[in-house]
Amino acid sequence: MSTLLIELGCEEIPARFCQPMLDQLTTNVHAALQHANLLDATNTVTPYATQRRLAMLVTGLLDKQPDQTLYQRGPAVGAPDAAVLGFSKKLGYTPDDLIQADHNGTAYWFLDQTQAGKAAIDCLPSLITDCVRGLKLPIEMHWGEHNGPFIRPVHWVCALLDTAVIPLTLFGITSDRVTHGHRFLSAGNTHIGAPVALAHASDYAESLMAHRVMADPAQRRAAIQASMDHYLVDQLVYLSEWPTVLTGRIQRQNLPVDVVKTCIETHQKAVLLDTDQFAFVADSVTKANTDTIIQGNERVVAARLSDAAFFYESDLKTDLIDYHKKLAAIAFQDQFGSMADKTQRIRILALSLASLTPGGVDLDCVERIANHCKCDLATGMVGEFPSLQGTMGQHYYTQQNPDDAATGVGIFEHYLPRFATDTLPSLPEAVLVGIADRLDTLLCCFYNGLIPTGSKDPWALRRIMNSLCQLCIANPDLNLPIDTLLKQALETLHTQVPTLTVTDSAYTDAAQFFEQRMYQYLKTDVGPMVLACAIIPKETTIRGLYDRAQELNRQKEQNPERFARIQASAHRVGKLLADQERPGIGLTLTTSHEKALHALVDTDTPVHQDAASLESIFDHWDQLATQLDDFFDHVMVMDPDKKLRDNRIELLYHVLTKFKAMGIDWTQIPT
Amino acid sequence: MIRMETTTFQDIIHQLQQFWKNQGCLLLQPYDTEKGAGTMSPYTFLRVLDPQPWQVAYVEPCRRPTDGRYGENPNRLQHYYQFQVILKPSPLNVQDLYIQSLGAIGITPNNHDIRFVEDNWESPTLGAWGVGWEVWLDGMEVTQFTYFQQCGGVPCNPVSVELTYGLERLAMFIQQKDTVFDLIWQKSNSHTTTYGDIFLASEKSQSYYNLDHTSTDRLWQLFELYEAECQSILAASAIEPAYDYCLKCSHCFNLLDARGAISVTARMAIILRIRKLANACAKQYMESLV
Repeated sequence: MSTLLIELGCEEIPARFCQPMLDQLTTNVHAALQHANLLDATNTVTPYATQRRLAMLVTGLLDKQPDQTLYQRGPAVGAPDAAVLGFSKKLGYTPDDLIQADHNGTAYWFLDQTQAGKAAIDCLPSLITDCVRGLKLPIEMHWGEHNGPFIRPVHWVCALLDTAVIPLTLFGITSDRVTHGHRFLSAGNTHIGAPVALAHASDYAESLMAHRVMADPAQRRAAIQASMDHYLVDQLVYLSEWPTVLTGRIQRQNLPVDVVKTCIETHQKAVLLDTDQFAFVADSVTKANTDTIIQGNERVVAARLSDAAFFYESDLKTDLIDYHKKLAAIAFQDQFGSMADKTQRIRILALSLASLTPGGVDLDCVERIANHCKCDLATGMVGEFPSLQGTMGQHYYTQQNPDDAATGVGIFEHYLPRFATDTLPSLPEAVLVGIADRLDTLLCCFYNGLIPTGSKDPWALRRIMNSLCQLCIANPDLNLPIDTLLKQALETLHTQVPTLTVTDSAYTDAAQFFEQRMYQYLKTDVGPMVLACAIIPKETTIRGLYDRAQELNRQKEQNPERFARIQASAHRVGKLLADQERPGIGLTLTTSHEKALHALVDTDTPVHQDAASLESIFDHWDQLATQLDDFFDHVMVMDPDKKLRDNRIELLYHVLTKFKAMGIDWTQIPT
Repeated sequence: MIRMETTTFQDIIHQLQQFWKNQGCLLLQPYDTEKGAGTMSPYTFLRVLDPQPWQVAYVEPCRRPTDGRYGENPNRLQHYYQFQVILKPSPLNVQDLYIQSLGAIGITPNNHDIRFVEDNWESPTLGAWGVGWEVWLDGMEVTQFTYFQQCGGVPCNPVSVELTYGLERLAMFIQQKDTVFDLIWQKSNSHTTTYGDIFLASEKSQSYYNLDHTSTDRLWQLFELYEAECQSILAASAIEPAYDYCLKCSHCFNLLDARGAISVTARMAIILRIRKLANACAKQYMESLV
C-alpha cells in the first residue's frame, strides 16, 4: 500500500475561501479514489492548507486496482460483421477476443475477459486533474495569457505516490516533488519560499515545518487560540503560515470602547485585549524584526483611531436630531422615499401600536426613540463603520442629552435582536420602535417584489421576521395580534405614501410570508411538526401561538399513544373525504354506531383556557377517535344506497370540523 | 532602526521608476484630466483592453473630493498620488517583483511582516472588476494589487496585473511620520521642503470648495454638457477625446457627491450613465483594433 500527496501551490487564496476549497478538494479526491477502487479499507485522509497551498495526504492506497471480470453477451452469431465489430470495440476489444456460447438455445458472441486493474500511478494523473478542474470556485479568475480559471494563480503542483512523481499538468504547471517553504522565513532566491524537494509523500508536513510552514490548519489555530479567542481566528488561521501573536499598545483617544474594537477588528483584524493593548497575528516574525512589526502595527492602529476620533469629534458638533435632514439624501427603497420618510413612518406606526397596547408605555419616549433611531446613519462614523449603527446613535444622544439615558438606550435597542442569539431590548418603547421598523421594511419589500427566494434574500427579510417573532414572544404584555400588526403597518404605509397603488396581492403575499416565517421560526424554536400545519386565527398573537405550540408539544411528549390515536383517526377521515363532496344535508341516522358518534360530535369541545383544559380537549378528541373506530368497524360509509351514503359522509364532515380546531389541523400533521 | 539619511518623497518616486524601468516598463507622465484613481488613466483603462503586451509605470495624481478634510486630518486628502504599474500579460513572478520593488525603496522584506490580504476591486462607473489583494506592510495597507478580469464591460484577455502604490502611505511608513503634511518631499543641505509646504494651502481651499462651495446647479449642467460632448464625439469615433469627457463626467459626479447632492437612487442612475459612456469608449476601442 502507498501514500498519496497532492499539493497546489497558489498565490494568496482569500482567507474566507481556504477551508471550503480544501473541504471540496479532499471530498472530491477521496470519492474519486473510492470510485476507482484504489482505496484499502484502512485508508486515511489528512487535509492540509494555508493561504498559499491546498493539500491532502491519503494513506492506504492500493498499488493497483483489483482485476475485473468482464462477461457480456453481444450480437447473435451470424449478425452483420459491423455489429460484432461495434460490440467488441465498445468494450475496448477486437472481434478476435470474442467467444461463441449458447444462450437460451441460440448461439451468441460473448466477451469473457479478465481485465487487469490499472496501476495506481497510471490512474492518478487524470483522476487528480479532473478533481482539481472540477472544484467549484466561489470567485473565478484568469491570469497571464489564457490561464485559469482558478481561485488564484497556481505556481507549483506537488504530486507524489510514495517516492514517485505522478506526472500531470495543471494550469500550465508540470507536477514535481518540489514544494516551497515560507515566503519570507525560509531561505530562497525568490520570494516564493525555499524550494523543498520531498523524497517521500509522507515527508510533507514535517519537511514544511522545517521551512517555517505549519501546513495543518488545526495546528495554526491552536497556536493563535493560545493567545486570543475571537471570531476573527477563523480568518487569521488562513492569513499566516507561521503565526505569531504579538501585542501592541494603543491610546484610546477618548473613544467609546465599541468604536475602538470595531475599528481595529474591521481594519486590522486585531483584537482589543484591554483598554490599552491589542493583539494581532503576524506571519513573518523573527527575533530581529519583532519590534519593528509591533511598532508598525501600533502606528497603523494609532492612525486608524485618530481617524475615528476625527469622525467622533466632528459628529458630536452636530445635534443628533439635526442629522435627520441628511437622512433625506439617503434612499430607503423605490417608491418609499428616503430614510427620513422611513423614520416618519416608523414614528407614526410605533405610536399607533403603542396606543393599542395596555398602558405602561411612555409615548413621549417612543416618539423620541423613533425620531432619533436612524439619525446616526448620516454621521461620519457610521458611514465608515456601518456595524456601529445604533451604537453611535446611543453614544451621541447620551453625550448630548446626559439627563435622558432611556432614549439613548432605545436608539441602540431598536436594532435588537440582530441575530438569533442576540440580547433583546430591555425597554418596551424600543420594542415598539423595533417592531414598527421591521414591519415597514417587510411591507415595502413586498410592494417592491423583493420577496426572498431560495438563497436570495437581499433585505434579510427572513431575519427580520425572526426578530419580530423573538420580540413578540419575549413581550407578552404588548399583546398585539398578528392581524393588527399587519393592518396597522399597511394603514401607515398608505397614509404616508399616497402615490402607492394598492394591490391586494401585496398584503396577501406579505401576510402569507409572515405566517410562513412565523411557523418556520416557531418550528425551530418550539420544536416538531405540530406547528407545521396549525391554522392561525387572525386575532392570535405570536406569543399566544407560541404558548399553544408549547402546550401541544407537551401533550405529545406526555401521552404519545393518545396523540398517535387522534392523529391516525383524523387522517383516516381526511383521506376518505378527500374525494367526497359534502352533501350538505340534514342528518337522518340509522344505526346505533352512527348515533353514538353523532352524540359525541354534538358535544361541545371543551373551551381552551389553560393546561388543564387542554387535557380535557385531548380526552375529547381521544373519545372521538375511539368512537370513530367503532363506527368504521360497523358501518359501511360507501353504501350503495345514496341516501345512507350521503348521511354518513355528512356525519364524517361534522367529525372533520372537530379535528380542525384549537389552531391545529389534525389531518395535516404528517404521520 | 538606524536611518542614515531620509528617503524623500521624490526619492521614492525616483527609485520606483528606476526599478520598473529596469523591468522593461515604459515610464509615462501623469495624464492631464482629473480622475479618482490611476486606473482611470487611458494608459490603464484603454490599454488593458487590447491583446498587445503593455508594461508601463507612471505617477498619477488622484482627486477624491469627498475625502477632503480641510488639511486637518493627518491621513486623508482630497488630492494625492498613486504610483501605478501595469503589466500585461501578468507575469507569474509578479508578487516576487513587487516585493523586490519594496527593497528598492529601502524596505527590506525580511525586516517586516508583508501580507497579501484579499481585496477585490470593482469600479461600477468603469464597468470594471478584478481580484487581488491589499498589501499589508506591518499592518499598513500600502499597495493595491489587482488582476483585471473585465474593463469597460469587456473581458480582459490577456489579463493585466495592476500595482497601485499609495505613495503618501509608503512615505509615511519610510519616514516614520504621523501626519502626511510632515512628509519630506525634498531635502538639500540648506533647505527642507515638506508635503505641507506644497499642498496644505490647496488642501484647505480645495476642501472648502468641494465640501461647501460648489455650485451644484452648474455642476449638474456641466455633467449634462460633458455627457453630450462625449456622446457626440463617440458618434464621430474619436475614442480618446470621448474618454476625456467621460472622465470629466466622473469628476463632476464626485464633486456633486461630496456636497451630498446625490440621493442613493440618483447615484445608481448617474453611475449607470457614466458606465454607459465608459463602456462605449471601450467598445469602440476594441472595434478600432480590428
